[in-house]
Amino acid sequence: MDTPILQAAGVHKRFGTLEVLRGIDLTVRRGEVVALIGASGSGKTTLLRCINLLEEYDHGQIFVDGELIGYREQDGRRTLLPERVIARQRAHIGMVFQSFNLFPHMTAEGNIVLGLMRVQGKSRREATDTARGWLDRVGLLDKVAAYPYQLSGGQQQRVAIARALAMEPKLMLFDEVTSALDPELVGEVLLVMQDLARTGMTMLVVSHEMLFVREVAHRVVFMDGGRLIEEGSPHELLMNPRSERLKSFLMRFQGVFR
Amino acid sequence: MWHELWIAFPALLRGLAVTLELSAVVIVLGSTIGYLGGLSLEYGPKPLWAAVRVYVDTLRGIPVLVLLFAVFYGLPIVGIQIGAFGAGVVALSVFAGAHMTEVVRGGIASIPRTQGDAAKAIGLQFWERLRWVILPQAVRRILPPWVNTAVELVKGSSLVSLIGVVELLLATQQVVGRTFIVIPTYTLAGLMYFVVNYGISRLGALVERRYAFLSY
Repeated sequence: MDTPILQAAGVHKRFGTLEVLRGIDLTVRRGEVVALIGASGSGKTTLLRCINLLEEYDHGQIFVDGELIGYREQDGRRTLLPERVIARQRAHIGMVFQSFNLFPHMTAEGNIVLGLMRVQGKSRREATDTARGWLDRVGLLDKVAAYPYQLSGGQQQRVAIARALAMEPKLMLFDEVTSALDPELVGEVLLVMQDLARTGMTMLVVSHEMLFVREVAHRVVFMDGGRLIEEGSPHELLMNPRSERLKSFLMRFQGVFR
Repeated sequence: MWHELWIAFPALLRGLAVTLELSAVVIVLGSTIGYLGGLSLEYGPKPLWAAVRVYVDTLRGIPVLVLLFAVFYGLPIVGIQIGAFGAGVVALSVFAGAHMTEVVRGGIASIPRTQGDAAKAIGLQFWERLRWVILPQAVRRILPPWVNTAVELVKGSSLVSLIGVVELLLATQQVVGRTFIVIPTYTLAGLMYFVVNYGISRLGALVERRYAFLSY
């Protein structure tokens, strides 16, 4: 059996008195596209942020490609790993954010080159070539020298995807990446993601784009109140929801599905 | 009168040189303290944060002149002999450092946390994130208040005339004491201060323009 790319077991996270994740078990296999759906506040984003340790989780374990993320466990006690190790772990996990988060003082190419040079230790020439390759892949080869403010939201998000992909991650995390876009710009970003899914990239996608979820995801997971409530194929889950909570959640998307 | 001013001019220039030297040293030292202090306030562990907080709040609440006298008369008592110029450097730098700390802290704090998240996500470590992502953006926000502080420091350097350092102001007073030409001499000195500070402002504006694309 192949090691799963992502394996989360009993993940808990609280902010003060607010328990955001109440024991998450989730497995994502190599090449699988898993969509996380659920109302805002259900813990989807927090789960994503725990996976690359943008948030430290309180209990449980998260393994990426068999490696425990963020902590060392010894005699039942866990300690945070040194920053150097955490940074290396993060470099193998790509993340794309709702608000793009491109570096505004760098060109599209510069945004991608940064990680290639400083994290992967590539030469400038090598990094530039790689960066251009990825910009070409997301259809923005003509924008290598453009600064983020000169790009539309959709273009910025595609650069952000290229920036994450250039690090050759084992797993890509997408955190509501189309939610901040004007409706007419959503399509170009989803197209890039669909293309990526087709090439076998392992993806965990938080999304409210139900059509995309239905067409692209192999598996859908519904979260509510910090728990996984239901999971299954897109067809099962979206067409025949079992739990009341999923039913009422999907009511909001009535009309999206015929 | 023109003749007297002409004779006095070298003395004023010597004073100006001292003012420039003192200001430059104080700006460099103050900026260094400010950089370290700002980082401590933003990222430092609790005890360091508290120590810097006390330093900044205390220093910003004391008139520079009081600080200057305290250093000038106080340090020799505990056996440290650094002379008048040295006392000026210490007092003004410690004062400048407190202000620069707030300037740097404010600049860093104004960069959205999401920038740090994005930098973490590609695998950059703390100093790399600071060097390549946070500081280049913060510079744009730090520059205007930094220029203000620098200009204040050049003007504030005239206070060391009160402990006998012959900088531009004291040099001017000495010339006036000899020649009794009051208004023209002070006008000349004022002009010199102005040229220096206008230069700093222009330089700041020039650098600011280089970062103009960051005005999102």
